[in-house]
Amino acid sequence: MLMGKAGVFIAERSAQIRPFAPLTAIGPTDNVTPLSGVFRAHIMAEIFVVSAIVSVVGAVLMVARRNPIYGLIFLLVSFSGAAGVFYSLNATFIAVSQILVYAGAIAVLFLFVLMFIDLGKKGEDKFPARVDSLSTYEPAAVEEGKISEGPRFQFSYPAAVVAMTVFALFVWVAASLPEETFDKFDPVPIHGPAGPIREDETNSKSSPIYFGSTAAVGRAIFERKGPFESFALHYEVVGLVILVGVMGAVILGKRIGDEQREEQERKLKAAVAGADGHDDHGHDHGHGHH
Amino acid sequence: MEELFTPTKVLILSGALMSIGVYGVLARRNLIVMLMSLEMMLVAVNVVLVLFSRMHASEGMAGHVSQHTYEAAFLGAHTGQIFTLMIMTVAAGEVGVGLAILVALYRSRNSIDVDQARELRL
Repeated sequence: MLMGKAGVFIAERSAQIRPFAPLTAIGPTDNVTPLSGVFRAHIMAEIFVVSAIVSVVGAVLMVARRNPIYGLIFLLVSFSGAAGVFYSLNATFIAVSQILVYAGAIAVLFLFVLMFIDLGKKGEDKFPARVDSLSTYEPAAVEEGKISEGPRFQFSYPAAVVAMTVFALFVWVAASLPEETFDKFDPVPIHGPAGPIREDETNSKSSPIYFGSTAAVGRAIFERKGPFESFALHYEVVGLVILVGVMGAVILGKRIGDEQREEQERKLKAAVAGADGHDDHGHDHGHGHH
Repeated sequence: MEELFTPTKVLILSGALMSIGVYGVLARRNLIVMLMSLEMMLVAVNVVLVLFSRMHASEGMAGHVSQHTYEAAFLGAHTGQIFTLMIMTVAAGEVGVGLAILVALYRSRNSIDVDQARELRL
């Protein structure tokens, strides 16, 4: 059922794209087949259900896998599922940025650091679990070659109890919200040249702006709707935040030179010796008194 | 499947992602996995913001008589998505700093186990 509908969806979409169309055809177009709003709602529901399952399962496997490299791969799966959820909520630009920023940049950053760090010698527990967790790792057995590696999964009861409490709180809040607003999605209007237009009117002589598209998000950020009502300044400030973050990362990641390290250690030793000397003095004094 | 696609269900999905992130931060000792769980929680917040942006878009759109107020309301409904973009940017900066701290910690301790990091001094 799902595949059939998705196939029809793709076919209808691709029928709208005419290869090598002249540039003037972008915008006002006459001969496109409009998608019906009801049909679109069906597709969005199916995309949401599939993406939500993918996202949650990926997240569970991410926290459960013992080896962080597999965890990273499941994090990618989970982020892709979240991108599908964003698409089903008509936020197409956010969905694409989710893939670009999280899956493209952040996951690769994690991978670089994982490859950079040597996570321990053979026979040593590289990924130790908390004392109370189920993970039973026997370094001796690995050394003898009985098992190739430790268990694949880790589980911790107290953390699971806390997480289930948080989840129950969320479900309780979500269930106590007013039903008339939270039990269905209303159709999203499309910005036409003269006010909102319906989905089946988009082939009229108009260049519609879809909700959540790049054009709409860009205009929402940079268009001045009144004094101080544009988000352009906020956007600049966020750029400053990430600049400070990059500078902090460079300073933290800088390798300290040998002479600088010696200088630091000498200072530290002097400080420790000073503190000890003071302590010893007080100690001796106390002894002498007794 | 339409009964599964309601704002309440999206909120529950977000709560599930958030609590999985909480579990990851609490249960693991590996700093990298803790950072990844933190990212998971930020994604859960983004899901809620995008959901409210979507609900805001379809609410009260019909009542606008003038083109100007309609346009302002239509663009104003994107505020949640703009916040999502800013959270993504802050998350990227946070991961950069967090991983730099992790590398510095690894250099001085030879381990990324958070239980080994008892002092603020690197």
